[in-house]
Amino acid sequence: MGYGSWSSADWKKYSSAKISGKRVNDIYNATKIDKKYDPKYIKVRESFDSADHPVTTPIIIGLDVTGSMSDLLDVTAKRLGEMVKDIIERQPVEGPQIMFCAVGDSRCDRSPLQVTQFESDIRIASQLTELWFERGGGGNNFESYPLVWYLAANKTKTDAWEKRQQKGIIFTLGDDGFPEKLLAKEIEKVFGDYVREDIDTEALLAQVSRRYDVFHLMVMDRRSESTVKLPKWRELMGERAIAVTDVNAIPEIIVSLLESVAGRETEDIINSWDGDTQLAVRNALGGLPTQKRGALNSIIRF
Amino acid sequence: MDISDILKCKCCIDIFPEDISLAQPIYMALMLKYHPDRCSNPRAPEASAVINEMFGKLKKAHSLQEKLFRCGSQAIGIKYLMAVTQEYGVEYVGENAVWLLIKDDLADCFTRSEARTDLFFREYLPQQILAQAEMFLPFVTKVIDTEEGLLVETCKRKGELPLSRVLDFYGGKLDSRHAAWIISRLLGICCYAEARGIVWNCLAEENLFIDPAEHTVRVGGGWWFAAREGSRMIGAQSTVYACLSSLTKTDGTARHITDLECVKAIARRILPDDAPKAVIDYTESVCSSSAFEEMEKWEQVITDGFGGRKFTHMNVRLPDISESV
Repeated sequence: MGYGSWSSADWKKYSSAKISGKRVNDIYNATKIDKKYDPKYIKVRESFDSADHPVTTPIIIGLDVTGSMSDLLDVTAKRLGEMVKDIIERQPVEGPQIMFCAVGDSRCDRSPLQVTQFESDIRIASQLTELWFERGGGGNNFESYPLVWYLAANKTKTDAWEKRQQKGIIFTLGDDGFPEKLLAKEIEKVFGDYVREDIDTEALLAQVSRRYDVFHLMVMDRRSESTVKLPKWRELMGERAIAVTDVNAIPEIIVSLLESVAGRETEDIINSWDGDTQLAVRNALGGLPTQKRGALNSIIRF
Repeated sequence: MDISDILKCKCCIDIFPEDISLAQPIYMALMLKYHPDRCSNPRAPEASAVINEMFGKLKKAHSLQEKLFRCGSQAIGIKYLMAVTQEYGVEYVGENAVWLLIKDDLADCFTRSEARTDLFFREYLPQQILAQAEMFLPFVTKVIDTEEGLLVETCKRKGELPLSRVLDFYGGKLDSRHAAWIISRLLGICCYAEARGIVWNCLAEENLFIDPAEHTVRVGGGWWFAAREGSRMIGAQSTVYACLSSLTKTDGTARHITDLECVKAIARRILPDDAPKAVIDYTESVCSSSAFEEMEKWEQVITDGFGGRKFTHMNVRLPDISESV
């Protein structure tokens, strides 16, 4: 997938018809999973170069759609479309192809993962709004964000990697912790895959990191560090567990992180934004050492 | 050897013995037999070209180059066969020694490293284990502060070749059985590190030497980036950095999983596309928390992929790779 091009006119038309002035429940009005987004039926998701996009960068965005996110889903979901517009128009990375995932809790939800295709045009937004916001989740101190990593590691094929050894980028967004392991039975339930043993989350992150730069955005609005399990995320991902203090700034933070992955200096990125957005981006990106990532073919010091 | 055998030859030892004095009469005999003036076979010109090329490589391979380094009022001379550019400087490969020239601005990575001394890898080891470990451990004989940089002299066995050059010779990928024994040795090296509570943090093609005849792998460079598990690393070469977890990239702490990820990354790079599926799947799989568990899995993969262990000859030798420098 990934053919076709994004245009502002398409977005304006789509946005005024489907998003502007509507409540989130009206935008995201699916009441059950659409089979085409069900990972059980997905053999592989492809991000390929094309005549329109000769060099592509796969981007996966996994949004927590459990009940605890309800108060933020309105803002987040509406702004995701704007974010797509920013990513496509600002091109922080070359030829972005975006795939969305809706993430729940695979220990209790009916559809803990839904996955769109990698797309480069208005279909990104339309497929996003076809996802079902199940609003489930259990009181177990985590949601199943690692499902996105499993999917990326095992069920995506990208020209970026196959042709250029260039990593894609994964963002998961949520307000909870992560499970220590993905259970073999969960994997079977969600993906229909048989694996011999449970998969340790840390090892899974290492596996997916071979082909993707992975970030988790901890949505902090009116939530404490312990609610979003900030220390635990930092123990897992270090600097790549990003604290988001202003949910409205998520699009700009994601665009900034993409620019950071592309090697732009952190300070330059922060200074490219104004006012409250700059503050939110600074809070989010403050710990990222750009130079380390930018340093190719040289010794990296600690 | 008949003409079709000669035309299949890729490595010098496919035709000649390694000893040049023994190779000379064989060369003469073959040329008498297959020189186009004497042999009417239409493929004789091709065959004699192969014979000439292989013998030419063999003769050239042992011609040493000399380099002098300034050290105060003294000059330190080395004789080497090939020079390999590294991120930290230059590696000069001799027959029985390797000299690593570490650039001045990176010399502190060596001098500050706990792993710069042999003791770091060898302390408190029983003699029996040490004897086995000597097959893959770096062995430093001298460290000289020169005006060009820090010159570290190490020992190697004559048959050991830089893996990066061997890969160049084979076009970037190895036969899957050759890749398999290299992976086995590397996992063994990881087990050793885990048992000693250290992390190599340098397992990458550019730091490894292999002996194609003996099927051994030695860590021949970059070992000064090694650190004790849980302690802070000094730095990492970019190939290794690419294998670090995001947490390690943040806190710079040495973790065993780094070595295992590095080994799987090497495996993915050196294995051919037609390697057995079990082997390919292994290289893509999640790493275990322990090198010993990983070794157990790998043993099973060898059986699944190749139907058991079988010695496989790898004929590349120094003459084959030295010319490409």
